[in-house]
Amino acid sequence: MSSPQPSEGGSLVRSFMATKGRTEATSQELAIETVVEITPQARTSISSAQFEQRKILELLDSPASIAEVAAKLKLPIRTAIILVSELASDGLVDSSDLVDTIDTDFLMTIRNAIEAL
Amino acid sequence: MTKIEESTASVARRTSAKFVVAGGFGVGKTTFVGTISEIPPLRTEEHLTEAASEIDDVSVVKTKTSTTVAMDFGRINVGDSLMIYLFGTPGQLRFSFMWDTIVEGALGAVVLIDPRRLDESYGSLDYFEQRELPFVVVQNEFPDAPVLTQAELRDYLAIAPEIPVTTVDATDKESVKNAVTFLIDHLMQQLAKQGGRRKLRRKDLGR
Ligand SMILES: Nc1nc2c(ncn2[C@@H]2O[C@H](COP(=O)(O)OP(=O)(O)O)[C@@H](O)[C@H]2O)c(=O)[nH]1
Ligand SMILES: [Mg+2]
Repeated sequence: MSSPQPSEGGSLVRSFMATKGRTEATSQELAIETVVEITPQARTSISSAQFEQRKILELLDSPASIAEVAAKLKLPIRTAIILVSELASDGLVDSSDLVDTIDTDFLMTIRNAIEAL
Repeated sequence: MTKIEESTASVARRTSAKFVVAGGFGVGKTTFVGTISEIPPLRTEEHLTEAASEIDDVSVVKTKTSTTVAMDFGRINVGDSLMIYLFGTPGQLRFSFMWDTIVEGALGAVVLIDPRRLDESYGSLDYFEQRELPFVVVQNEFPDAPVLTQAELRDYLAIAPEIPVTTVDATDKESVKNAVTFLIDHLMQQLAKQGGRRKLRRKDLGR
């Protein structure tokens, strides 16, 4: 990424600053559908977190995916992944497991839920 | 008790899975996702600044090397521990990192077809055939458009016999539910052929 110019639009600059220019996630890689949630210990330290991170922690008071974090805070997916990864390595956010292998029971559970909508 | 409940009961672990809703511009992806989602559908926007060479659609609005890629998605909760996401693919940018991000680890895809503009969905069909993501083809029944027969659709789009084809009204909840269960039925049949289990593809994660 070239260094951001003000003319390129606010959100690009903002996301660059939010990640302080870092481009690599620091811990476990998160997918767009990974569900994340604030940890109990984070609830006490929200007020001391930096602006972007505080907004994420507030949002993750109820569980949501990386995609929801990005959409609701108007962050690019990549930026949301980096910010949430950092919160996770600081123990402020818990991330769910990704489904690795599917079987018929799993698909049937989803199918039943869809039918019941 | 299902597997998920068993494995999550003690620690209330959450997990998630996703479906992809694909097809070209205006085929009804956003409508489809919004009709079935339990939350108001959401949108992410990416500003691509150096991806001009990856863009395969000259109609995409771009200024020099900058373009915006939008992705719509919805969510369905399955009990307390499983969240199902439906991600609509962004336009025709099928070689962009967003497509790969959406498709990696997906359970399967619905490729929507507008019968008036079949070519809009060629790219999606090619993409899923190449990536080996299971998919079904779903013709969107626009009120002012003719409905092609299954034979016509298969013929015009060169759809392989093993790929199921159906129709949907993307504005009708029951119809969209049927389209998603149609996909799940296809996934279950595929699973049966593969011994009842399948590993989801996530090879590009960590890029
Ligand atoms: N009546 C009707 N209109 C539809 C249907 N699907 C999409 N539309 C309309 O077609 C247009 C394009 O749909 P949209 O969901 O935005 O397409 P996308 O570009 O694939 O996301 C919108 O004006 C929709 O309201 C459908 O099944 N029935
Ligand atoms: Mg759309």
